[in-house]
Amino acid sequence: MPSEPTDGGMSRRSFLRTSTVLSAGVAAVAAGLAPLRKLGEFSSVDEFLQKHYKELTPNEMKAVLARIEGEVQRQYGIRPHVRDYRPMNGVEFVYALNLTRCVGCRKCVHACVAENNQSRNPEIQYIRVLKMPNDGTFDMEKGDHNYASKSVPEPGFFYMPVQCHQCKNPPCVKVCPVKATWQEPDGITVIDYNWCIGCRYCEAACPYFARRFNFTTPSIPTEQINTNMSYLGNRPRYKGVMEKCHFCVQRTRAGRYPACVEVCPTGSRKFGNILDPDSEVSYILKNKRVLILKEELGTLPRFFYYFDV
Amino acid sequence: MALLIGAFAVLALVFAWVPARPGVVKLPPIVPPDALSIVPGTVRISAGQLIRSGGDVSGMACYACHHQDSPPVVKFDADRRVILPKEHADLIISMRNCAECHPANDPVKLDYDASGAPIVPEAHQGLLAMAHGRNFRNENCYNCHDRDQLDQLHTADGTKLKFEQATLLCAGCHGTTYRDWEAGAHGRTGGYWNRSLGPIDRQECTSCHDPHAPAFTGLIPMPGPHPLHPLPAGPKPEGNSPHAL
Amino acid sequence: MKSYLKFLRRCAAVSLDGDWRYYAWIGFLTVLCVIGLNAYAKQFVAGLVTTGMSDQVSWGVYIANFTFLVGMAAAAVMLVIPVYVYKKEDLHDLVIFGELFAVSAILMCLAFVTVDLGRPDRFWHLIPGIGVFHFPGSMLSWDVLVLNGYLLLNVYICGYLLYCRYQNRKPAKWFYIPFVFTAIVWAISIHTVTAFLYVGLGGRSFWNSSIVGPRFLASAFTAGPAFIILALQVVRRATSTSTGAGDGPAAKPSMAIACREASLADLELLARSLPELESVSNDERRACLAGATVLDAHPGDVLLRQGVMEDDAFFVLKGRVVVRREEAGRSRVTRSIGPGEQFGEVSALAGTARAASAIAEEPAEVLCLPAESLRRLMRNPRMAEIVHWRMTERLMITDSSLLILRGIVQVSMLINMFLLANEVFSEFYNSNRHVSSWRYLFLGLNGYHALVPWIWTAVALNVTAMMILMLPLSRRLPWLNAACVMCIVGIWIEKGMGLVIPGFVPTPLGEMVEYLPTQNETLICLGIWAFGLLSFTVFLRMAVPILQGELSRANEA
Repeated sequence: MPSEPTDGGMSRRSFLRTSTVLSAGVAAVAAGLAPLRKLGEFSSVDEFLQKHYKELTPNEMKAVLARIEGEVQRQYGIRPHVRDYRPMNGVEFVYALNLTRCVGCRKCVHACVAENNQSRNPEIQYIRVLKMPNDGTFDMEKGDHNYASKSVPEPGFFYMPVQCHQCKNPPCVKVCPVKATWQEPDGITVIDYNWCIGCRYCEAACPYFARRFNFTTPSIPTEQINTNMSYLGNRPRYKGVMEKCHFCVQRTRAGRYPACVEVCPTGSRKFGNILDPDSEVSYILKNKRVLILKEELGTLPRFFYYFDV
Repeated sequence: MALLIGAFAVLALVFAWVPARPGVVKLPPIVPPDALSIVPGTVRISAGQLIRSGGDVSGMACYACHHQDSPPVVKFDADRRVILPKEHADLIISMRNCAECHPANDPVKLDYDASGAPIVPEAHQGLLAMAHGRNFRNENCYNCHDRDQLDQLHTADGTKLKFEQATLLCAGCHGTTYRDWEAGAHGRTGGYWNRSLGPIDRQECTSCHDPHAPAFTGLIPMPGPHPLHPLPAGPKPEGNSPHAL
Repeated sequence: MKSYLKFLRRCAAVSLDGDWRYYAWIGFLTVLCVIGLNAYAKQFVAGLVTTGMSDQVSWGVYIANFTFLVGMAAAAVMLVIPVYVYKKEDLHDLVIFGELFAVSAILMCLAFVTVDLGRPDRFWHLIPGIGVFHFPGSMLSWDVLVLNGYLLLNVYICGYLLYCRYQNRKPAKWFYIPFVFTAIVWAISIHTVTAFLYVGLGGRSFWNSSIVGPRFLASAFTAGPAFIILALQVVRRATSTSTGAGDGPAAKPSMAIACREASLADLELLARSLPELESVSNDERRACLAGATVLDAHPGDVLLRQGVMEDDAFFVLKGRVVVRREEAGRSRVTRSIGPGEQFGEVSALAGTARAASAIAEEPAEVLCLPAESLRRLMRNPRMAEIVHWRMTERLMITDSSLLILRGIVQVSMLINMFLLANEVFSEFYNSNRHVSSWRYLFLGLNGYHALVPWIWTAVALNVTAMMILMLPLSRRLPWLNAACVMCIVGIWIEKGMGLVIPGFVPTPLGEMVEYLPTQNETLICLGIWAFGLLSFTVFLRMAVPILQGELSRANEA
């Protein structure tokens, strides 16, 4: 029961009491927000208001790229060259991986990390290599992600690297509430790092564990930064956004092979334009037995595992 | 009432003094930049490449030591293995598992001479074995080398081939692999997938495979993934054991 | 508009008013909120690395709580269905409590989603028209729409009904009945959409099952009404005192109250505060005056006694009368009645004993009508309408209303357990690999068994609660309360940690990484729960006086 009249007015005593408590509360709240002091340079107005990639005019894109170059320079002390590579016509990228030849050396993992400016701490790696027992099973739960053998390949095992499959029917694109990730005409599923809100629904949706989240600000040693950057690809990401393998857009849209393909010492990785009948990937899909991971999910990946004969 | 004000005041002081502590993030070991570079045994400089590139082939002048009319005799040991003369020791550097002598994480430093050929350390001299084919099937030098023309190779039906054409020789027995290699499905590719923008970078057989010991030896795998949070203590079964490096 | 602002001001004033228990509760919750805010500030600066989440288990206790609370919000509608569809009138006022609870629960849901975002500063990307809204493709965009819509719906309905009650005005049907029925459908939809968030992910076989939606609803309709059962008893307790303790006007020993015959002038006076009376002709009024008297009461005079069989109905002409009800050794004021309002009409019309006592709070003039006169008056359709309407305005949190809710919890828990049995059979009977997450949850997998004690505790709580609810034992309040607490905790575990985490373990590539919430994460969760309970307490603190009639336009000083 109220001990004060509920006529809308308050006695002076209760007013003083209430206001003292309220100001103490406000002081506590203000002190509680003290950690925000360490926020540092958070977000410029331009960055906050930046439109979705697909809505940017060419001039706006130029301004955005210049701003990003400035941001990277301020953060890492080195000025990069950030470009917006556009997809080529008549191109659909497909990836093939030879399970007979992969020896599990993980050079692809680290070449990718170097090429695409991934965070070293916390560690982000787009490619995950599974060491699978060679005894009549393909059950991935039997795979070992953390092997540290003295020498690979270890007898009795085969190795299967997994990365983003750039699916034709991508579950991650379907679930993004703000369309921060989408399929480009050349088949690559890309992310606009300035649009992603970090809800991680796409990470839950992906059946291949392909997507990574920046749980904190990524850290890259300055001397290891790759300054040839692209907007949709390997420019340094922000805290709280998603990232994933993008088939090295800064390389592939300039006609080159992705870093993982080039570094593989056994030549297990093949990449090319499936719309070109003379490409190696066309040959592989025509002539080899291929394995599609989790084909029953209907994601239609553009990533095919094949064997030598 | 006083209690409430006191509580808020204490809270305010606590927040102002205690610094924010972000989560613990484990620091992975720094991967040395040259770890990604080529390990001997994969891409190597073959004789054909050397010749084609116009490098120093003085070490391959067969008739500097051998006489034209008397081809060298191949000797076999008691186990029917070829006894390779030590003058040819540089042929067999990559056929052993380096980890037999070199500990893991201790980078092997190789010296190369001006033409790019490795300089054979003394410890490697005297490691003699051929390893092309199982059960010593292919260990006669003259299966590939021409007895009469030591600077040439020959196929099974007698066709002569230059060193730069060694790939055709391999194709004679490894037909399916050669068919894949022609289409680009076998062997390392680099450079440009879009030929109109630049050349593709292909390797010949002998650029990766040592013709005398073509099977690759093992590689030391690069570090695996590090978890975001420290793993809980306690033994975990094999197979999915997180390895704290 | 000015009066609406005054109404809001008075509501704000009353929410800062209370006894020491109220202040202690509010203070404790506020302290928790501030601690949670501080923890969130740390998370905002450092990023989500301060939580226990990782790429392998990318949703944790925030989304677990969010899922549980969406269910609770949806369950508020379970009070609406008996009242509006089945016309169980004595739950009428409790509908508002249910909807206020829904508002608090939705606020908590929105808070949990916001703290889970990596970039909450980019929330404007979600606004249709300004950002890029992926509707209807993404179930998350559906969720944004339905949750915010449900919030607005409930805020509107509660606000409208409370404001009408404050103004002592009958709410216009068209302004709220369509919205109430929309809310019923909408409540089912918010929880179904949330279920579809999980069901729509084909890559996670633990979630990709059509039973998840029905299971969500069944568990929500168990835990929600269970919470409301407990909350209503808290309200009943907090607004009551034990019999004998003085609260409000003390009843004077019964003395004869000054009484005189009623005249047309009295009915004229009544018509000023009861406009519906205008439509009754003077002839009719004269006919009703047969046997009618006017009582002149002083503060403390008892006009009506609980338990007595009488058949008079009363209308207040001047002053204020307070209605008190005694139940289980405690007495509480259920209503405060001003000019134009009625009391005693239920027992008059139904011929039952008085359900409560009526005591004059201020010097009052009260018109006393025999039952026959009241019935005559009610032959006029407008009078009948207003009398019937006012009859439903009873803030009587009776035990029978609690038992209706018990019935809902009972049936829902039975369905929930049945659906669980279905799931267990279909997963464990054959040995396909999709059972890995189930094995991890119930039995442990490859040596990882962090969730096993949790889920078995939840199952034990749920089964025990179900058995107690099925027995007549649970008609007694202490047992009912115990069962409700068990329901809420059991379903919180099973729907929170028992649903979200196993979907991530093992990962789609077969990796086993477990999840444990960090201290910072837990503090943020506690802060948001405290915020929710704080908002619910404040809402109740404002709503109860309005529903009782204590906070009304009539007593604006």
